[in-house]
Amino acid sequence: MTEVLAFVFLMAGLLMLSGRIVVKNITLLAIQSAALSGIAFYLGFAGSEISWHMMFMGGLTLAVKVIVLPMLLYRTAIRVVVYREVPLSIGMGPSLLIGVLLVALTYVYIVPVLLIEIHSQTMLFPVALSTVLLGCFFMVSRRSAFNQIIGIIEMENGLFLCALAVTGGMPLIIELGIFFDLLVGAIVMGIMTHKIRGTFDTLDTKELSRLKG
Amino acid sequence: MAGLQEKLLFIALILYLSGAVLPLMFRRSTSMSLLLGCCPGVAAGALGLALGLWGMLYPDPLVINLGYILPGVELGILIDRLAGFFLATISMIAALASLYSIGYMKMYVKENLAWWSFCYNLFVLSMSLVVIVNNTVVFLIFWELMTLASYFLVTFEYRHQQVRKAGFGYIVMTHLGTVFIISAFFILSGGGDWGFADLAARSESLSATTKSLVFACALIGFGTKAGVVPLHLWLPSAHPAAPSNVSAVMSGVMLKTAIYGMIRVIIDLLGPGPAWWGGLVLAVGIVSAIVGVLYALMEHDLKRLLAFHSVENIGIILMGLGAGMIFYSWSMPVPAAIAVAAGLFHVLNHAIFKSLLFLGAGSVYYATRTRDIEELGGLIHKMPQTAVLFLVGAVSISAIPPFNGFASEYQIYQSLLALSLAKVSGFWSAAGVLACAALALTGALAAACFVKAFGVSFLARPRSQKAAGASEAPPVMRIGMAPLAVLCLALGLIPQVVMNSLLGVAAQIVPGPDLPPLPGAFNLSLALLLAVIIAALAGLANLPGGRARRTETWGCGIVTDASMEYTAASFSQPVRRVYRFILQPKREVSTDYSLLPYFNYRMHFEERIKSVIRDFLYKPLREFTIALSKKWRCIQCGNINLYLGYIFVTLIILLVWVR
Amino acid sequence: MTVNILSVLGQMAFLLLMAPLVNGVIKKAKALTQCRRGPGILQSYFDIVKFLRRDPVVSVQTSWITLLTPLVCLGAYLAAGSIIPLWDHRGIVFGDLIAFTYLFALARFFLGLAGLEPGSAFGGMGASREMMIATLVEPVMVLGLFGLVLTAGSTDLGALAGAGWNPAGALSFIGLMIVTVAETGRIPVDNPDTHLELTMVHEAMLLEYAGRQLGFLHWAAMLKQLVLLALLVHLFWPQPTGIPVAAALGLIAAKVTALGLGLALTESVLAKMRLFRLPELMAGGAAFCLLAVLSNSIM
Repeated sequence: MTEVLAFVFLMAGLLMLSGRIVVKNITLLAIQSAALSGIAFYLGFAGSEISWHMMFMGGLTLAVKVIVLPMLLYRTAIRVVVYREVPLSIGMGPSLLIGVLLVALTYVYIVPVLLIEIHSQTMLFPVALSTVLLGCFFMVSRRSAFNQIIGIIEMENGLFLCALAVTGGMPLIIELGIFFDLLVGAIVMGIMTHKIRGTFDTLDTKELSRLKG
Repeated sequence: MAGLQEKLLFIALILYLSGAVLPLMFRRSTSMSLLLGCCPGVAAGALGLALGLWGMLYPDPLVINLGYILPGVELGILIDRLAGFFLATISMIAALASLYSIGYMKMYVKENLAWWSFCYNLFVLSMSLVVIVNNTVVFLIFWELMTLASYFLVTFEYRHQQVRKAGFGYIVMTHLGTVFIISAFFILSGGGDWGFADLAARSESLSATTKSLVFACALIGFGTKAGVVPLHLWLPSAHPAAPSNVSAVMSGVMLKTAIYGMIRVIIDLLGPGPAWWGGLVLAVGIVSAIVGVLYALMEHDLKRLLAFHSVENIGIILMGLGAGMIFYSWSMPVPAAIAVAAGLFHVLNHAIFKSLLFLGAGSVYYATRTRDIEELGGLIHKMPQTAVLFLVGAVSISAIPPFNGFASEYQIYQSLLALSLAKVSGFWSAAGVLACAALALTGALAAACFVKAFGVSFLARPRSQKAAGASEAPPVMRIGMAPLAVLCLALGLIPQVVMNSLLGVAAQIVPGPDLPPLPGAFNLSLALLLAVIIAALAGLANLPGGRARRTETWGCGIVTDASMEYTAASFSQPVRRVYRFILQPKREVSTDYSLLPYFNYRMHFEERIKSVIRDFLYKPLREFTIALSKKWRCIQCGNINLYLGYIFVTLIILLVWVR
Repeated sequence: MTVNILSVLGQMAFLLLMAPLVNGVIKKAKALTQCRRGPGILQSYFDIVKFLRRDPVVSVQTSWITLLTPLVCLGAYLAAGSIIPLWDHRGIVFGDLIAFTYLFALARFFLGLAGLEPGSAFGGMGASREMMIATLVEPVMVLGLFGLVLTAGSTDLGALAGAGWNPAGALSFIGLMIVTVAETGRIPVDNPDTHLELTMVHEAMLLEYAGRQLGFLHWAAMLKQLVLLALLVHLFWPQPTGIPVAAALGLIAAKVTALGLGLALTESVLAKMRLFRLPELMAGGAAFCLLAVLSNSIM
């Protein structure tokens, strides 16, 4: 079961690289988060006794990352009317290719060694790590401020899965802190996209380089 | 009994916190928030004084755990003798400054006094905690809190651009210092445990080079906060920028937390090191003392002058500590303990007389609204009691018997001489006597400076309307200063009592055989002798017919006025000229004349000194940094994607590297 | 204890009474070397008595500091003089070299304030110069005296008796002689005979004093001179022990007078130096003291 969800999780991340349409990316992000929350729920149930910590995390993910954040992003996207992405800094084809390479790199090159060190048998870990890299690369390849917040949430999803895979989740207080961070980050980004658009009439962050002294 | 001390500490903490928070609740009424901010400070200071004395005089350290602030990091209190001494000093000065503030801060009714109370109480609280925690992490937390709170106090009058600039310099310099302190702790702990006890245990296994690295980091880090030359640049601008009561606390005791850090890390944790450590500390002390007092002599801003004297006195303290470290490295614990105790004695004395002087300067500012001594004069008639209090401070800081400055400098002289008399090598013998000569030079310059400061601002005629309209400061301010003046005299009369308890403190840091108590010092008998002689002479002077008749000052036949008085600039001119190799004065004289050069009607004279350290040390450093930054700027293109790319590439490299 | 107090009191009385005599002798000697007849050697006593009988006049600008200063000066020098064990090396209540040095600082501090107080330019100038000279003199003095401490091993004046009676001591002696010249305000540093000239230092600070106060200050200056000479005698020309008090007193008086004659002679053959050439003179003194310190610390 976790394998299927992890597959969905990874594919959503990869597909995002191919998407030019912003709204589609938001949907993919929601799907990825839903898969994550599913994994958390599943791990919570799968043990000999129900882990309430996992359940809570799953619920929180569902609430924040599947429902609240995508809605917020969606509404902002509608308001600033961005259906299509501004020009990418790296073309779509190459970026997909690089994405696949990154996944391969984690699977083949990095994880086998790390796995031995951290004694983790699950396959969730490589998925998580490659999602972190994918998210980071997503941010690098997109010039729109809007897509960068999507990228950072994707990275965070990867980190979250990392924590789930390796230690069974972080302490609750830290999780809550991260969620709060993300929410604030999304709101700030939302406001910023609005402002950037108001100022430069585009969402292209290239314009920001003019602010340099 | 420990329960009682725990309660005392707890009450003191609550009092400080309520002093910080309550004024915020009552900020509508300025007088209310001022009272609510200052009164708990006075009470908490008294409690802290009791607790500190307790810790200082009883051999068993007091250990209290106030709970965990981070997983694995406890807020542990350890009041051993050293901590007790510093806690007592800080609390005493803070309590009196709080009392003084009730009167002084009335000057700022239009400002946000609640905010001031908040920062002030937090500042004092963090200072008290810095010296009594037992863990480096908590130490750093309160160290930073102390810096931040004092930053906001320095920038209290933020509307003046100069104040903002001073605050900026302060925060930048002290944070650079903190970098070094953190490095010292990191090297010392090696990423392991952070408690002082753990570090002390670990330091024994470190190599000599590592230890020297820790020593250098600690000296630079704490030296920045203490304001040793050449890291003192922030000090003379930050201290005057703050309100005077805050300057008194900053100069009197905040600098001492850095001395505490030095003693704790260098002497206590690292243990005996090579002799050059002590030699370096001694040399830094000498340079700070002389440079500090020379620049002080050139200042006409009363508070800047006092701030430079802090540099000087920190130098004198370091001379004592340096001598102690040299003895420690020679495995001579008894003279080492005496030298460290001498340094600590000067810590206490400087705290007392420097706070007294800053509070006095505050009263002058309160009465005249100017800090420029060229505008003052004649205040001894307008503010007779403040004048006496300020004079006591001035005499004490000039190391004049029978006051406390002399008592501690005497002990430092003896320690430096002991360095010579130990006959370890010709070099150290000569060095000891030369250090004594440097101390004598410092003392003479300090005396010159305070003859200027007191003479120009309190004596003769008022030089401006501001000084002419002055009146005595409110009683609560004088009451805040009076105990300090009494202490100046008392510690000067019975120094052996203080020195003997300080020897206990020093013996804790420099373990050795039991110290013999110091012989009863001569100060009391000397003072008695002086008093008797002067009283007898006074009797003689007041014999019948001895009443002084008063007339105008003789001015070669013309009626003198204030413009003919010697100014501070002219007073310091000979010194400026004699020590020009350090001060580098530049003089500009221009005359305007209409007909012939002999009948000029306007003359412009300007003389300014160069800050050699700023010009020859900081300026090249700054220019180098800027040039380097310009070169590096090419990687800063301003494109977010590129920055993200940097992060991305770093991430990949790290992952591959981890493998 | 009683004996101690009596001996200290006796020493004070001796110094107070002796000081004008030494001054008179120096003045007479100076006059003779300059082919003048000069005043009698008792003239200084007459001067002091004359001043003490007159009412003081002070400026309206002044406060208690002006009235206190003469007493502080005389008191400080008297205290400093009383701690030199002149006729016996028996332990006295206290007798520390550092305290001795700093008692001079006490007097100087108040004299400086008193110079500034009347608000005339002369007093300020005198105070300013005096404090500057002090910054040159004090380190040299400490260097010279502490060089002797290296041989004696203590700052106790009793232990220091005759500490300079060795080759290195000769170097210290020259250095300390220069210090004495500067401290007593003699040529080439200051001229004790001028009044109302822009070259003067010590007299400028006393300008606003009159009557009894001025008498005290003059007496204090003479006392300071005697105390410094007595210190030099104590350090470099020690008294033989075990002689009766009267003989010791006579011997001290003779030695001090001899040193004073030396002062008079140097004053007569030298010219007054420019104020800003003083650092060179004091650097010379410092060099002698430093050599003494070095030779003491290496041996």
